[in-house]
Amino acid sequence: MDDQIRTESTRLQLTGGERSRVARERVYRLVLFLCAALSVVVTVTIVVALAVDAVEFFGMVDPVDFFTGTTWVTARDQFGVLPLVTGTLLVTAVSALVAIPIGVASAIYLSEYASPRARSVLKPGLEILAGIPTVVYGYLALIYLTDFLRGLGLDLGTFNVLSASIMVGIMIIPMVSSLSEDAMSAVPDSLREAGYGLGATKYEVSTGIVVPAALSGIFSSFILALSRAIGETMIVVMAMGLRPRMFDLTDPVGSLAESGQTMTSAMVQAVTSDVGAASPTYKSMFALGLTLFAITFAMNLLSNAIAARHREEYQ
Amino acid sequence: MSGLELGHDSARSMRGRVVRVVFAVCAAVSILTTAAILLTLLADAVEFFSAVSPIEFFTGTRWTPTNEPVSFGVLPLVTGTLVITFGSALIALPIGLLTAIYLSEYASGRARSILKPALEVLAGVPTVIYGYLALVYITPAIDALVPVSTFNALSASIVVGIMIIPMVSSISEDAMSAVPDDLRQASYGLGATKFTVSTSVVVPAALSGIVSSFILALSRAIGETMAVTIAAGQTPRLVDLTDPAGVFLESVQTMTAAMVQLGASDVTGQSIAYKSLFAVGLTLFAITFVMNLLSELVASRYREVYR
Repeated sequence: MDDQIRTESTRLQLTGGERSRVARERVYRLVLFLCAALSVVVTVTIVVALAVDAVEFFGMVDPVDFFTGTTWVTARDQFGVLPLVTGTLLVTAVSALVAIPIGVASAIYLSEYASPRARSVLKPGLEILAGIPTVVYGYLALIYLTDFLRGLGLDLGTFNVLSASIMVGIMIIPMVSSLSEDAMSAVPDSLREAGYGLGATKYEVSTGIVVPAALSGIFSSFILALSRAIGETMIVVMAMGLRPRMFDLTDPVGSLAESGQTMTSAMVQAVTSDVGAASPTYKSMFALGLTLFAITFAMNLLSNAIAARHREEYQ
Repeated sequence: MSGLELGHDSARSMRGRVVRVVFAVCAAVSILTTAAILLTLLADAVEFFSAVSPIEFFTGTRWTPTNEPVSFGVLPLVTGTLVITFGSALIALPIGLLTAIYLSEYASGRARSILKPALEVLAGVPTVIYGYLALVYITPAIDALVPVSTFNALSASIVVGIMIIPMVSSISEDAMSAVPDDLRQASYGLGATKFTVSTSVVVPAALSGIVSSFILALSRAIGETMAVTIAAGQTPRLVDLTDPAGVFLESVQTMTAAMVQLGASDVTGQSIAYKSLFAVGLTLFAITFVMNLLSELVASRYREVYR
């Protein structure tokens, strides 16, 4: 009888200890999960909040007019988003032309060629570029870059697409170069050594082996940098002007030399203008936000798909 | 014939050298741009400091660049920025770190496949949207609990905090995933639970990456412009240390918001108020630069300890 009680109590203690340990683990797990779930909840809330206001807007303005219209004049209730979309795409394309070649070449140099001394100068330089507040870039584009480009003989307006786009390009160089360099540094040395063993030069190894092996990371860096360019606000508000304008395919140079407007700067304008919170102009901001959001989301998905498609091919 | 071969070889090495120069020039472009930006900021800041003494600028406690009596004391803006940064850090650092632990140590493949895209979406929301959400939804929600001004530091801090969660969690998670599995297995072998392994083995081993992620996220918060301009308002206010809670309920102005206001106030670009923009820009730049250096230092100090 005594024995039995003792065994019972020992077992109780054992299972009790085990059980409380397991219970504690479960609590930890739950807390961690809740923190992670919070970001999902917040994301969903943001999307829903945008969608609700956008639905209200689309109650006032026909979605077909919104997505196919070519005139954006909020004062006359003309809400055609295409001039803003083409404005955004133009900025993104030009900034990509600036940032992608320079960023990738910098990444190759940093990963394959640079001495530790050169790296110790270049890396902080890139980080400074990444740390400059965008509002500073905006003023520099407006005040210095436009003048500089005019000095080169270009006939530019005070506010113009070209200098805003170049500034956005400069801003995203560090994103392209640092993410691409990470991808290149992760390529195993054995691949490089095999290339050298076959008599390849450093250039051939860099472009024929390292870049293809790191391609998924390089593409991801492009897409992340471009979504940053699409969402950029301050530079384009300050340096590009506020004139929504369809991109004129017959006169691409003219389109660059003139002012334009992106989706982000139209959103800033919609809210800073003196209109009631119930007016279509104010609500248009949410439809724009949702459109912008859909574009950056699609780009992020694309980046993930590309990264997953090529991941670990060389590991 | 062999001379020809050699010639071919030297052409090849020539090409190699040219390519090297091209790559180096591309890399140098970023340095030159950085230097040019610094110089232009400096030149304008020097002009400003010839009109306003640096001592007055850095120690002054009133920022009234366009109203009489004109005063250029940057401290209210610096403290405004610090308030927002501190508030957003309180939100983003714990949530971001715990999310990273969950993603790296606990989450199943299925959970990750939902969480990672959601975090990326959060990172991709344009900052102007965050500003409006703060103004239109978060401020009224707070107001229902505690009375706050229309523009207040609290809701701006909350949205900035939400905005930088993905930075903390993704960089920290990368650092944790890079911790070798044998460390985890050694600990499990000693009978440690998953939580003990996560907090006593993985987090310390990934500390350099985690601290870097904190610092990068905080420099992002310091440089954030649209969300704070829209949600925190335009009232330069020196933080009142005797009433820390009150600070968050009132409107403040950050350095970035002041720059936006200055830029919008005068298009001619000649007034001292406009020039002060560059002095503020340079101050901001110095702060983020120091934080980036700090991040590098921390990362290199702890790098490869466990490899």
